[in-house]
Formats: sequence, structure tokens, C-alpha cells
Amino acid sequence: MPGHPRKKIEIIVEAPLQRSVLEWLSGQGVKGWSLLPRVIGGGQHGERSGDDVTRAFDNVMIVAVTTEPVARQVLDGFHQRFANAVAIVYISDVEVARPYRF
Amino acid sequence: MTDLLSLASGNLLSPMILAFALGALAAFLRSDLEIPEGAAKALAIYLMFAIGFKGGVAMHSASGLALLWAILAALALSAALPLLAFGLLRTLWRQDRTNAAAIAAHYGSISIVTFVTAAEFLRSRDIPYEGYIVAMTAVMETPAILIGLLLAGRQVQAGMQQGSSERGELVREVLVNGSVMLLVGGFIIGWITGDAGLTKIKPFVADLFNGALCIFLLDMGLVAVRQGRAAKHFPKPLILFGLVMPPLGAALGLLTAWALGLSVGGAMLLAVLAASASYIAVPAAMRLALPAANPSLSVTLALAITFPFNVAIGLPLYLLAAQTLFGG
Repeated sequence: MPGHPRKKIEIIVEAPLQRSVLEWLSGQGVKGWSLLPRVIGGGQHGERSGDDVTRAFDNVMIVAVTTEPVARQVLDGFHQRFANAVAIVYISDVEVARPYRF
Repeated sequence: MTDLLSLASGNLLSPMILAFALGALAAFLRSDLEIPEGAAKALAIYLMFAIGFKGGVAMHSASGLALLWAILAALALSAALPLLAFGLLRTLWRQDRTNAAAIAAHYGSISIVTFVTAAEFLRSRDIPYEGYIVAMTAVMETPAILIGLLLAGRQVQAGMQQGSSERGELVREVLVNGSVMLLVGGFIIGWITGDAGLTKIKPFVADLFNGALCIFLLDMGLVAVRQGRAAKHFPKPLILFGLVMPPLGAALGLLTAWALGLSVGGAMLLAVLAASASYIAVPAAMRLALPAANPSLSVTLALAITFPFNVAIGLPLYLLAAQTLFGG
């Protein structure tokens, strides 16, 4: 039996902005989230090792599942709201069993 | 000169500084050695509580008025230091306003690890210092963040946009930052309980202190070299700023110590506070408040250049200056 279609938002963002991003997401209509602390990676801003004493170079990953309109709004609005943030945002299709939760 | 050389070699051959060198060497050789983040954090908590507590115990029999003056002087010093750094960065190093302000904020704040190492440097030479210097440390931890923002001016407005949550986060960072809580809390507990309190926990806060500091500095050696290596595009001329600013800051610290009438040990510690730059409290706060500033400039300066300079060369230099000026 197919599940109910929803969108998954994934945001990899520098740790100092974690709280601000979560508050903003909730204001956009996101009902719940999960967070992976200390995400290791590399790219334009060099390598981020995840064991940083300053916290300024740590990344976290926020995962949320929501409806398509909310996900689009987050995708469109994120880089305006957090203009200079070190961040990557993307959305993808997922299926859920309990649609009323998202 | 011979005084300086013997002080410097004594410092370089202490277990603490050799542990720092070991960490730096391991990172340089790309060893997989690492101190788990949780362990490093626990060590930092221990060191801050212990230094706060011991400062409070020393305060037990001192006057409250001296503490008040010291706190006011610490505030003035942490406001003056970013102004000096900002002026130098704008005029001599031609940094843009935002980056100059962000770096200035790091230099107005302090490095608690440098302070702890300096306090131990004095203790091993039986040079006493005023307990309330620890309170000054706590006071100097965060106000420079605000001065940095004032120096950045309109850039802050542009960076923060409509972000009231960043402002709330920043206020929290300035007022109830974890290290401020630990230092002030430990200090008050030490002040209230005095020598009787110290007797109860002495094996923990005093006897174990040097060993814990060794492991922490080993981690700092790893972190400093890895940070230096990560900053590939770091502008070479700025390295000079990381070496020139500490002695200038120390001179301001010594001037303040003279105004307060501190002892040789107290004057040396205040010089160390003024010479050191933050790489724990300020970088995260600057990412919130000045996101347009490049953190790899300020953190590399504070962590990979100024911190090693201060612990290896600065400590004996500032002690000698304090002894010469204050008749040690």
C-alpha cells in the first residue's frame, strides 16, 4: 500500500545559527524536526571536521518532513532570511504512514 | 636579557608547554591522535571551575572595594582593546570594516586557557597574585562582542536583517555564556566557602590541576596546527598583526595594573588577559551578529598565531616586564 506523499527538507547549516533556523522553520509551519549534531563535510568553505573547539566551524543537519507548500516556502525563503549563512538547503520526495503528523 | 632567556627556557621546558608542542607535532605529522570533544569539554569545565574557585578562595579575606575597582578597570580594558585592534587593522593592515571589527572583538575578549597557563606559570615560581583577577577574567570574556558590533556599525543591521532570534541568542551569549557562568560561579563558591571549602576539594581542584592542563594544552596544540592548516587563503601580512597585537595589549594591561596598584603577579596576569584573544566565546557570537565577516581570519589569528605566541614567548616576556616595572 503506498504511503502519503510529503516533502523532506534537509538543511546543513553552521552550528551557531541552529536555534535561529529552528525557530524560523517553526514559524513557516514545520511541525517537527530532527537534528544531527556535528556533521562532517567539505566544500566552498573548506573542510568542516566536526571537532571544532570554537563551534564557529561546526555544522549541524536539520531534517524535517512537511507538506509541499511549506517545503517550497522554506526552500524559497531560506537564503533571504539567512543571507550570509554557511548553509545548504534541499527538499526531496518521501512517503509517510501518518500524514496528520506532518 | 639573560633573565628573559632563563624565564623563557624554564617556560618552554615545563610539562604543560611540552604537551602543547606534542599536540602541535602530532597535528603537523598528520597523526590520528585526537582528544574526544566531550573529554576536551569536560577538561575545560574542570579548569574553569577550579581557577574560578581558587580565585574566590583568595578573595575570601580581601576587600570588596578592590574587587569593584578591578571589575570597572576590566570593563574599561576590554572596551579599549578592540578600539586599538580595530584602528591598527583599518590603518596598517587595510582590513575592511566588517572583518576589522570581528577580529577586534576577538582581541578585546580573552583566552581562558592562556590565563590558566599563566596562573600556573606564576604558581610554579611561587609568585602570588590577587584572587580578584579571576573575576576580571570573567568580566572581560564577553563585552568586547558588543564593542565589535558597535565598530561594525551598519553592517550589523544588514547582517541581522529581521532576525530577532539572533539578537536574543546574542544577548544570551554575552550575559550567560557557559564559561562566564563557570568562572563567576566557581569564584562565588570559593569566596563563600574560603579555606574550609578549599580543604574539602583540594585534591581535585589543586593537585590534579597541572595534569589536566597538560592534556588540555595537548589538545590545543592539535587544534591550533589544524586550524592554521585549514586556513589556506589566510593573508600572510595578517600574521604580523597576531604577533604585534599581544605585546601592545599587554602594555595596556600593565598600565591598568599600575592604576589599580596590583602586585607583580597580578600585573603579569592582567597583561596576559589583555594580550590574549578569544577563540571560544567570540567566534560563535560573531557568526550570529556579523555573518559577513570571515571567521577563518579571526579564528586563525587568535588560535594559530596569538595563542602559541602568548604561551611560548608572551608569558616570560610579560612577567619580566611586570617585574621590571613593578619592582619584583
